[in-house]
Amino acid sequence: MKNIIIPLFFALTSIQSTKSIKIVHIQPLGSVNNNTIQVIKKSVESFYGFKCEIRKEIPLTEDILASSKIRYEANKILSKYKSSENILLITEKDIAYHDKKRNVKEWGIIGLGYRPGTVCVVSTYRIERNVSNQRFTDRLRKVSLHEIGHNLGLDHCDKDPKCMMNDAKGTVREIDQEKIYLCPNCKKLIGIK
Amino acid sequence: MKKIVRLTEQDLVTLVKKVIKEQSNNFKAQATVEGDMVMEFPVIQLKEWGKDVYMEIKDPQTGKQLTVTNFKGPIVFAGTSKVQYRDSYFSNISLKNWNQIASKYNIPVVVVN
Repeated sequence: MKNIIIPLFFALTSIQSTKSIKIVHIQPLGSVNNNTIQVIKKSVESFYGFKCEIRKEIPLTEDILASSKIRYEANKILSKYKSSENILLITEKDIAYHDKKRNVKEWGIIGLGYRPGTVCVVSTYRIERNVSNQRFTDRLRKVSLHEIGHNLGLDHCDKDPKCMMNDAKGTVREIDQEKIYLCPNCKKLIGIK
Repeated sequence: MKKIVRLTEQDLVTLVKKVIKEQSNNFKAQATVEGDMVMEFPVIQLKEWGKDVYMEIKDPQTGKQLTVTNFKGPIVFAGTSKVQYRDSYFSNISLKNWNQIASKYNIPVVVVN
C-alpha cells in the first residue's frame, strides 16, 4: 500500500495546476524588442490564462557570463533570479549551458526552466536568425509556453510529436515541427481543457 | 489519558541534535536534464562500484527511484534500467565532491566489492 501511496503523493504535489498561478512576470534581461515581449505576453495569457506583468528591463551583468564571456550561462541566470514569483526572463543575447564533464564548454540553448518551479529563461538569439518574422514569432511562442510548461511540472512529451512539450533535442528544427498545442495527456496533468 | 513526559536537559540536547541531523539530510542533487530543464532530486544513496559511483535518486515528479552513473548522462529507472531522462548534468555533486556531500548530508554510501 505504501508503495502506491508515495508515488501518488509525489505526482499530486509536484505538478502545479494552472489555477495555482495567477501572474507571470515577464522580465527583460538587457534590451528586448517590445514586439517580442508583447508576443510572449499574449501567448501566455491566451494559452494558459495567466495574467502577465511586464517588468522594467534589467541589465545583463558580468556575473552571469559564461566562461567565453561572449554568451550568458542559463543556469547562472536561473540561480540569480530564483524567486517565489513566477518569472519568465527574456533576452536577445545568446545563452548557453555549461558542461565541463562532457567536454562541451558552452552549448548554446534557447530556453531553460526549473521543473517544477517558478523561473525560466528564453533567448531569442537562436530562433530569429535567417527566418521570417512569422516563423520567429511562432518559435518564440512555442519556446515560452514550453518553458512555462516545465515550471508547471510537465516533462518532455513523447506521446504526440505535435505536442509543444516535445524534446527539442538541441535543434530548432524540432520546434518547427510542433504546434502551439498540448496533447490531452499534458493538458490533463496541469488541469487545462 | 495523556502521558506527561518530563525531559531532562540532556534529553533536549539529544532531541535538538536529532532534529538538526534529520533536517540536514535533505540534500537535493541539482541537474540540467535533457538540455532545458533544471530539476532537483532527493538523494537516496550512493553506491561505489569500482571506479564508478551510482547515485540513487527519487524523481520529484513521480517518486520513483532512479539511478545515474558518475553524475552525468542518462538517468534510468533503478529496477529496469529503462531510460527516464536521456541526458543529465549534475551541478552540485560530482566525482570530486560526492564523498564530502555524503558525509555532510548523512547520505548512505554502499561500497560494492
